[in-house]
Amino acid sequence: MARFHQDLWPIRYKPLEDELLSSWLVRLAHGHGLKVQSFCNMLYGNKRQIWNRDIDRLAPQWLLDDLKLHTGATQMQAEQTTLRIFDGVLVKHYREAGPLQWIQLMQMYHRKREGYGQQFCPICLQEDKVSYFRKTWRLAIKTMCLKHNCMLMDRCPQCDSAVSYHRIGMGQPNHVEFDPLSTCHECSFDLRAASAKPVKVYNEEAFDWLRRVVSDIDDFSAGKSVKIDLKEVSLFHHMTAMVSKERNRYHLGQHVADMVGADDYVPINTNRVALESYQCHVRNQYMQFAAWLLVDPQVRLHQACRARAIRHNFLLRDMKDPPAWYEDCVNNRIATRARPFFERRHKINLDSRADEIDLTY
Amino acid sequence: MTNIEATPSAKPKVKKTQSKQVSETKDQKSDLAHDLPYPHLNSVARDLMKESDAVRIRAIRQGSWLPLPHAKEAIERMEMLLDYPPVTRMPSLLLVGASFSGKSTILERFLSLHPPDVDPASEIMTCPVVMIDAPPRPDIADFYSRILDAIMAKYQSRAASYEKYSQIKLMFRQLGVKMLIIDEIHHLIAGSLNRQREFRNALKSLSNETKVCLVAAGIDEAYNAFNADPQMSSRFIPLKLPSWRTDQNTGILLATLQKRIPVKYPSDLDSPESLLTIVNRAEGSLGDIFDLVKEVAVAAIQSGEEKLSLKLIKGIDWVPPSRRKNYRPPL
Ligand SMILES: [Zn+2]
Ligand SMILES: [Zn+2]
Repeated sequence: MARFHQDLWPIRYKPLEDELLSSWLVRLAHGHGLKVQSFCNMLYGNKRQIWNRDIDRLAPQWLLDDLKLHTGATQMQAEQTTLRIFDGVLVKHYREAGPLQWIQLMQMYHRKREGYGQQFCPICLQEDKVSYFRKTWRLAIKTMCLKHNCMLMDRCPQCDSAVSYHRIGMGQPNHVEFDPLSTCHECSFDLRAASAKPVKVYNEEAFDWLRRVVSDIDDFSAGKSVKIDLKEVSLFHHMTAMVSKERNRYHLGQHVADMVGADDYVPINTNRVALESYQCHVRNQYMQFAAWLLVDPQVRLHQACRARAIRHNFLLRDMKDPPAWYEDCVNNRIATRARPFFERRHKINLDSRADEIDLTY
Repeated sequence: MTNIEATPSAKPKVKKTQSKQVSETKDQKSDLAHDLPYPHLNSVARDLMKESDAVRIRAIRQGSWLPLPHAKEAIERMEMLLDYPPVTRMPSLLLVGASFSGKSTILERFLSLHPPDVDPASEIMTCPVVMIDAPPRPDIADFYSRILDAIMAKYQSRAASYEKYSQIKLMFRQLGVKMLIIDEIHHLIAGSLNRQREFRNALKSLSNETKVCLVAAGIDEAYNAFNADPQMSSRFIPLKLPSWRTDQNTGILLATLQKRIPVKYPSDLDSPESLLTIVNRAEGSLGDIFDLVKEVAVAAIQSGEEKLSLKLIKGIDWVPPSRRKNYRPPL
């Protein structure tokens, strides 16, 4: 008599494209008709608490191994669900606690997500056959959905709660068909019905540059082979942080705002808040400003120095390992042009659309 | 392994012509049987006589599928139910027969014809047929747990009945369950009349709400318990399995078996005394009758006696089913 495969669960969904571990796990639990907490308690007992931590970041190996075993997912599929894949790509030193470059903080407190670290695109959720959450939606560098040309959101528009799909069904018995993951755990608003806002473009060139960065990161996160240079993304992070803050009497952000004609710039006037916890539209503006500087750095950075918007030595300060071209550009004040942000994509362009781009760097 | 099977001719009709040809050639051979050695054997067994003892013993242990009309009918009826479109009141089958009359074997055979899919690449297991043993008492929570166990669902064992029930409905729909087989259904009699009624109602709701066909199997008392409820008796169509006592039925069975066992000399299987001994030792269990006869046949070859003699049947060291642990692995 044919027996069931001993280890396989009857419901063995595989991770969807770019799906987060937490999203996958909640879908699996709901597929079994269980709340995710009950499901995990049943499987891993009370000792191995999962939901009081940021599991997408922690992603313990035993959990991945277990899910792989029971769902028949491949090693690759399981590993791809964690934010660890950004180690050495967007993040310098991946660790379990403390801030991580470009990764939104969850600020877990007793299973409650206090921080607005989980963003989403309402139209993506709408178009999903089964609503699920993406890894890129946890990235501070991603503030907009390229597919739908809209800003991401990071909270329920009805009650302002942070997104916590793992709390769906809490206080309800295990039975039923749980609401889809797009449901606000607090007020049951369906995030698919949220109206997406268009992206405000301050400067076309800078915006295109940012779009390309986000597009590369989307591709990387979806498992496509894209080379992303950690030094370049770190520089971008550095530059975004610089435009976000006023240092003494130096107002780099305001300078860029004046240059691009933005009248809605407000700096973050504290050093204690990390870029990763800024609101989505604020981050988007700062990133567009930083992008504007990096599109033509040898001109715009020196122009900013001359305008006393920034002190020249701030440009390299706090940067541990800047890209060589940037160091050159700052130190020698010579006309080097910014190297392509992600070399590989430009190489592809070079092959396929050589006539469309300027190759004389 | 048990050795009762649906007859091969109960399988797809297309193959029928083929098997007919085969049986014709067999018949021609048996016409010439007088001139051949071992006239007490059928052609397959006769061919085996050319082989070594080891090969013969192996063939015996492997068992030849014996077409049993009642098993064939039960399986055909179940196939029909499995194909039944969802209607308000799904038809159900009640398989009634004495203990060890081969009910479980038929059910397991049917289950093995419709195994769940175990492809790790699929997102959801498809599982058309689910089989459980009824709980020893009509305890609905236990009943639900057994179903959830059978489909390997994760559930909280202490969860309330209605939670388990909801989970079953959700899982049945996802896994595409079409038939629930409940063996040992007579256990429900072990409860008070109230409990029995509750249990029957649970069966009805499950069938109505999930549109699965139920196949219940049990001893005669199950039939009476079901008939106490007109709704149940109209829904459950009974199918009675023959019992294996010292009667003509068993005599024919043994005579058929005898032709298939490759030993040199005609055996005593069809003598009234052998019949009595075998039925008593096997306690009327069909599977055990096969088992016992197989062991006797092996002993007949190993001892060189080459005959299933009454002496061997009486003397062989063999544990009757009542003294064995009634073991069946969980689905
Ligand atoms: Zn979108
Ligand atoms: Zn809400």
